[in-house]
Amino acid sequence: MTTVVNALAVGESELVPRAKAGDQEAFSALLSPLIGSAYRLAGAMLHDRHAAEDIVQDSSIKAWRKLQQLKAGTEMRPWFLGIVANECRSARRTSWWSVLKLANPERPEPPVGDSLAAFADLRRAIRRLRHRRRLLLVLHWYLDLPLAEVAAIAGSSQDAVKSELARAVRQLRDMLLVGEE
Amino acid sequence: MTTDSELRRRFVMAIDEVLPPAPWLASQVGDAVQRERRGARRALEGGGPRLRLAAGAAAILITVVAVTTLLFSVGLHNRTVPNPSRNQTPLASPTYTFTPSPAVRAASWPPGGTVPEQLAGCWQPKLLASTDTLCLGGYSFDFGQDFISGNVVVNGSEIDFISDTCTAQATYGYDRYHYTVTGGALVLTKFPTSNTGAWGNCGWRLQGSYTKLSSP
Repeated sequence: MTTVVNALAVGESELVPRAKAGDQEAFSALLSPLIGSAYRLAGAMLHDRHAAEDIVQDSSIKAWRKLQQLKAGTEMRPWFLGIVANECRSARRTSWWSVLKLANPERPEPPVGDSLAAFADLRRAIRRLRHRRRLLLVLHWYLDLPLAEVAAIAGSSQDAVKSELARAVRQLRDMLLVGEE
Repeated sequence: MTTDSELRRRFVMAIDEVLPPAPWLASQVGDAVQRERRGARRALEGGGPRLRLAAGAAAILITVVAVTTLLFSVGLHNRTVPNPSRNQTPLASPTYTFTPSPAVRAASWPPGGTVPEQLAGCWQPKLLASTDTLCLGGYSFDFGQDFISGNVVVNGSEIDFISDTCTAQATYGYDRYHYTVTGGALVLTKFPTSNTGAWGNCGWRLQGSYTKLSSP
């Protein structure tokens, strides 16, 4: 009989050792609640739902393979979202992605009305942000993660994240202003 | 001028617009991980007595061929250019070990020698909570278990990363960086003029600071 493992009921501290020992149910219980956030992170970074699905799948397999590297006391969510963020960076860095997705980041989107066209401008501006700034904005603004967790994923201090977020917002505003002129 | 909260609201809506929910993804991912796990287990255990017998015979055959090839290659040696490709990483391996290539270089590479002792080993990027590491040794480098790998030459304070992944034509390309090593910290600074002409376009963005993880 299959036992349904609930991550919230059992607790991460108990599930992680079991998953490390090869218990796939424990791993699924750890991972399942994070898939939605991972998909939103990848989608927001790449602006492509299909690529986001691929990234989440690849990241999950990578997490399974690298689970032994999850240190005691490290929470699963920042660790896994860190893997997703790195996969997004790698995807943007590979040649085929650059050619297909980044060669013409200013490509016009279909006209769909004034408010939606404004969103298209905003998306273009987001795409022009460097990976790290975009990542911080997506983690804090889109996934609504607290600064402490954003800092854990980004491998920075909270103060550094806070000031870089401010710079990212400023840059985003500047790009939108230029777009309006 | 919009307020931060208004800009944030628009930010969320702009992304939501191109990102429909994917409720099936969790089960799809679960299946993929299960397949991965089964594949790894099959690779380790075999799939039954007959299959194990066949696998054993195949293993013996492969070993004989490998030993013969090795003996030949040692004897005849040696125009082979080492380039550990990503496919050489065993997919089911839960732990990853970086193995530098032998000390042989191709004439077409930029000038330079093998990785010096102070650079050799694996380095963790400082900027992101990366699970990928940059490993250097001999004429080889590897960045991330499943991402990029290839050859490397070091010339003074310059280090060039060479790989056939830089060009669509599978010819070699390279990415040039200055490096400094202080204590356990490595800093890579990209040359502004690399990736031009016939060398293709790598654009790996290896620039940054790294912390030493291990020596070979």
